[in-house]
Amino acid sequence: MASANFAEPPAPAPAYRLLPFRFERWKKREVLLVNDVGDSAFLDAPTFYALVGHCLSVASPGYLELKSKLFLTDGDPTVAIDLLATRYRTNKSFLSGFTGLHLFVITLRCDHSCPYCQVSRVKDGGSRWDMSPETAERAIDLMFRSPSPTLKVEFQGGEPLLRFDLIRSIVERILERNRTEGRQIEFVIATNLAPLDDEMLAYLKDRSILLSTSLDGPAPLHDANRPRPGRDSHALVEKNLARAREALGHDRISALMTTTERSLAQPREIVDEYVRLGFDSIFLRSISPYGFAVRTGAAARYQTSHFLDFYRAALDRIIEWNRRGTPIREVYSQILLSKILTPFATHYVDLQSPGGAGIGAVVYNYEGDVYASDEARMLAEMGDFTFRLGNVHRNTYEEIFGGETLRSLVASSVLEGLPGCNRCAFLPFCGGDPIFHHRTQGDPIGHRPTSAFCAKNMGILRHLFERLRSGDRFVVDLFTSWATGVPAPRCEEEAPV
Amino acid sequence: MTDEVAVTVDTTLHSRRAIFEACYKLTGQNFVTLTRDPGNPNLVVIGFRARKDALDPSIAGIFANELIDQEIRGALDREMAPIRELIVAQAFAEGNLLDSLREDGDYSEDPLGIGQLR
Repeated sequence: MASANFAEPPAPAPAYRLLPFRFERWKKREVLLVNDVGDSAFLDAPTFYALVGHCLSVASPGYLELKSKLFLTDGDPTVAIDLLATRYRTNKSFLSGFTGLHLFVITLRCDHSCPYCQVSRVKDGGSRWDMSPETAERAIDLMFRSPSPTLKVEFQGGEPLLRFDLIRSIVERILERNRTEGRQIEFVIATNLAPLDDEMLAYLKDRSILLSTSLDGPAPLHDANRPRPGRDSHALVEKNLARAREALGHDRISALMTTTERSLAQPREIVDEYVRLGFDSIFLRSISPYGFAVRTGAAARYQTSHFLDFYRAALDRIIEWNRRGTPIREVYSQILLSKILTPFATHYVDLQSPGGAGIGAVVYNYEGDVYASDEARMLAEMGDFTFRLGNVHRNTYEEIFGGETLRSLVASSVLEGLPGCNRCAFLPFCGGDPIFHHRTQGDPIGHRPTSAFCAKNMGILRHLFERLRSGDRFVVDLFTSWATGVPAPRCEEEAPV
Repeated sequence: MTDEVAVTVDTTLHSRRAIFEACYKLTGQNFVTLTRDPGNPNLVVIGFRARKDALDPSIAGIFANELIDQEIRGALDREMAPIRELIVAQAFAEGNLLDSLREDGDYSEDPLGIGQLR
């Protein structure tokens, strides 16, 4: 009887070459394949084994799909490699402009006292927590050293509207400088809307400045999450949202929410509140483990699995509203779906490799320190200055943006070299977030099997893939519309009750 | 209920990298130890103990399947590495690494033989 020789299996003739991909086991003996530019395909296990064993027949049903999606090539591989290289370059286009988002933390003062505040705001009063005009001028100088043809300037706090005079002077100074610079510039103010007045609105309109606000859900939830004297945060948001829309235009103000322990039981109510107030998008964000969110324990009150349950329920409600004719999209899903369904980069700094901290976005803090990201400055407010890149008064552009701190931060966010990420099928859609892992696990590389960042993204990505292949044509069309920006599909039913 | 499970792996069948990758992936739920079998240097004993709660009763099977997946990933990495590197290099290269004639060739010499097709 002939014995099997495991050491030297017969080598099959390579009728095709495999092109780079990674795989993930799925349910029911299926395998998800994702190539290096984000194209994906589901195979049943026998087809997968045949593919990787180089014995998939040209006549088999999946062969042409795999060839068209650049998982394999037969004949001259040059064309396929050239196509993949072009796609890869497009995918990494966020690298070409370098730092495009510049955050000015003009004050730490705030009239709210949110227990989940990640930036360790201080009570209203006291100009020592404000950015000086000299610091602002140096920050503007540094911003214009960035080679990016488009610059987004975001004013943050605290509550930046408390220093509207400073916003105004920075905007005017930037516009003046830009007469010779010729960049495309966009201004955004992240505000709780409470201090908004008519004079501010007139200026915002004149200078086409966008607003981004916080709305955590219906009034009882919002006011519990975001306390202020008078317990009227939600009422102020609603009132000033209407004024701002009337003055600036409906689409000039967006909102995002933070998920607290209280929010977990109210996914439908939160989505419904966004619909009631006429928003066409909602950003479902988990709490970040920085600032008061840590000191008050708010960041530790729920697990990632609880957030994922909440997220899935909220997404179901969003789909339900769309199905019945009210367009509303979820922003985090939209970013991921753009990566899954289009070849384009999203410029969302947390979900890219290398990560965008410092090279996609940078923060100028009120006292002049420069941080690689908002999270890096939140960490600094907690006494950890690991990701401080320098100071606008003491360091040059080259020292800040070419220094060892930023170089090592970027190196630790290259997924292709991170344990647990380098072989993950979701790599083209994900990010490394070294600052989160430094904060939660003590080192920027992190331990993926216990990483909340990894668990959250894996959970959401798996859910999106499940929905995409569910056979529900409406959901596929809806997700495609979010990814591509083409109009949403027709409604199917009446509005939900 | 078992609170510890040991799995023996033949290192002549499985690569060191696949063994470590499979172990690493399971370190989220478990404490994982690796020791050589004192009686046979080709065998390594992988021990699993739950970090909290109870050990998954399927842990041995989960590990065995993960080990095979990691072997496949390793084989694919080896096979795809040259093309993967070429794609990345081509994506960011100033010139054309796949066909230098496309960038540097002299049309009058007809290096692609297009004129001969007429």
